[in-house]
Amino acid sequence: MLRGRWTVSLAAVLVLTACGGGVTTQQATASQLGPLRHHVTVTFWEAMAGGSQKPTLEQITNAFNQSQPYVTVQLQVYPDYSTLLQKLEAAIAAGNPPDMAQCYENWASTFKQAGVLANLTPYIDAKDGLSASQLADYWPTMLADAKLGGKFYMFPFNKSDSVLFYNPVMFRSAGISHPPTTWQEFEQDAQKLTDPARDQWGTDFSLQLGYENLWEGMVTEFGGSLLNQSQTKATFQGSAGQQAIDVWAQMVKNGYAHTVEGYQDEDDYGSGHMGMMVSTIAGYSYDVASVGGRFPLKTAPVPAGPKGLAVEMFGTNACVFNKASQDVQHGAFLYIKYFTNPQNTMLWSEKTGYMPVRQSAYREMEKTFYPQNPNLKVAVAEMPHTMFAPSVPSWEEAQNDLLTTLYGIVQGKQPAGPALQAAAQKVDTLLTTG
Amino acid sequence: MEESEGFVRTLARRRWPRLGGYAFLAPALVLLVAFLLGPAVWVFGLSLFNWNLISASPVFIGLENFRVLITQDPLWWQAVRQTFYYTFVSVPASMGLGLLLAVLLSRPLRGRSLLRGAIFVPYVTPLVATIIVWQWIFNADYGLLNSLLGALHLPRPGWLASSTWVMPAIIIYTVWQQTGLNLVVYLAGLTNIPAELQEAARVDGAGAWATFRRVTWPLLGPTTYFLLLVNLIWSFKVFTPIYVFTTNSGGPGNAAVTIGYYLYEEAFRFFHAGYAAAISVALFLLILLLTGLQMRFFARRVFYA
Repeated sequence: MLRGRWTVSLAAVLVLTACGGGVTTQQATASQLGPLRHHVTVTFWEAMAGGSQKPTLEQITNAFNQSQPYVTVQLQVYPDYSTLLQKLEAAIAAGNPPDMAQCYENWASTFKQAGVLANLTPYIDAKDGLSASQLADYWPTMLADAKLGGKFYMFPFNKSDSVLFYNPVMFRSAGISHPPTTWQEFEQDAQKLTDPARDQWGTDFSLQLGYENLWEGMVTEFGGSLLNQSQTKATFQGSAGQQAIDVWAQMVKNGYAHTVEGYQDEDDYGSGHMGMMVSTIAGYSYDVASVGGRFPLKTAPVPAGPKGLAVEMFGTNACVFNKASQDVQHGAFLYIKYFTNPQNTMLWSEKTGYMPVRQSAYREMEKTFYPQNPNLKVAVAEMPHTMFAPSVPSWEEAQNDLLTTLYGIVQGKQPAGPALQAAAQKVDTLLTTG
Repeated sequence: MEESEGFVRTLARRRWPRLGGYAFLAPALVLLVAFLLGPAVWVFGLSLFNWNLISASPVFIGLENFRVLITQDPLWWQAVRQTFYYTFVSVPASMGLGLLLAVLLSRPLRGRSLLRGAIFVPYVTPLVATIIVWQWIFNADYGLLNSLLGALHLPRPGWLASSTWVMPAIIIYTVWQQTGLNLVVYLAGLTNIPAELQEAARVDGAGAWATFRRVTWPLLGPTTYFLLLVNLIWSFKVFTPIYVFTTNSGGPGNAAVTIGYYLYEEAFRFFHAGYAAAISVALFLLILLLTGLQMRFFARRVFYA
């Protein structure tokens, strides 16, 4: 195994030296790349540590390792995405990254700028890669999101979006007949659900990172955008951004929404104190556990704004590092291909709540799975209305500032207009300086 | 000839023990240099660069990181203020409580060992595990603490979800967690005080308070000085409670961001390793200054019996 790797690396080094190229492994063009013929081991760093995510990823990975003789994938799990990022950063700095990892878009941007990511196109186009019809089977929005500068530096892996979780028992006793479809209805229902005497309220605004994503979607729903087309200037400070956060500020002020920390919204929902929660479908297995059968858990689409429905897509893509030899990169892509084949993406989706990344899997699930599990269909049905967070490297920091700003507004410490204006100035600086 | 041979032998005899000494030191020295001194020196260098640790091209910018830190970064000053708030409330509180409990528990008392053990347990229990338990205690809507406050008809603060109360909550946890250490060290200090001195004071007619004030407290000087130094340094570097209590967010409105947390965030979330190194250097200088002040003002007053 090692010898195979060394031979290839040596050949690559020779080719590179002859061409006077850089230090990374040269990537073959599609016409050159036949099926993989050497055994390789691929290390995969991921953060699928909890709920049903860990066992399901292990199950699919083991099945892949046994399904063919050439690639062995070794999983290295980290407790959460922030730890994963920290470890990745240290490993890349030390010149010793894993072969592949889960990557958010803005991480991948940073990694690409540092020149450490592999372009996956040659492996997609390889003889054992994906045919044109297979590639077209992935949701187009997910594929678009996986590209940086028009090339596949990532590939869709575990994708999710937000849905509205609600408690039908609380709805009934508050006299609400159907889940809200607009933010106006959401606010009215939150009011009806609030009853301090019974220690019961409408919804939560969580300070957990991720809640700013909800507002980011709402900005679009109210007719605005986060950044300009070229992602160089903030545009969220306009009236759409203000109206969107004012919905929450008003609910918090009136006591229909509580501000909470971390994942407390899941506990509040599960314990029957809080009637509605906008949250990611990736948390489905956690929410089911939190509810524990106390009431039937129900989901509905996220409420729409004046300009319709828009939800941000979450979850990560898979990215491959170019320090790995070409065969290892190739092996990593074969694994991604296997993980996202219709059967496996279906299995992954059914067990975890993440969305199937292939349209054929969705069609199959419409027949076999969704009739019994309508809650999980909601997230995928929102697909035509999904959008992505900006992929600029500094977006992680911008989001942090936004969350602080949104908290200030929701707490009534500052009015939305000036607060978002100040945040926009800060984000503009971040976009220019990184 | 004979003389020179004698000289060589003397030299060898003189040099070998020294080399032998270094050989024994080497394992520890290598570790110290590789994992402590080396990185420390490297951080000083890194603070002069604009670099994310992973790009191939670090840019030398001199003292620019420090200029931005001091003149253009409100979050840095917020972190400094909050670190001082955390330190100067939690350290006196946990040391005071430790001393009080040590004095009480140094007397013959039924169940004394059990109590000592119970108070020390938080200190040796893993931080993250106890923090997660305390997250539930601080839950604003149905946490234990707010249930008690509600039963007493007192206001129920938002604790971890409130920018005003998140720091007091973390300070309460810290006092609970750190008091055990202070208690044990003070107990050790108390056993070192010769009983005859306290007896003599009592014979001279001193009451309990006067004995404590005039005899026990001065003789505990070295212990207090040691604890003050250790506690201050520990709390200036505080990171884990902030990280876990705020679920890696720095608290509502950044209200729990301390210097230690801020430098982590800059280095490992936002890829600003050079800037984070500058924050490290600033933290180092701040601790150096405080320790210097302590030595200047307190060390001389410490009475070594």
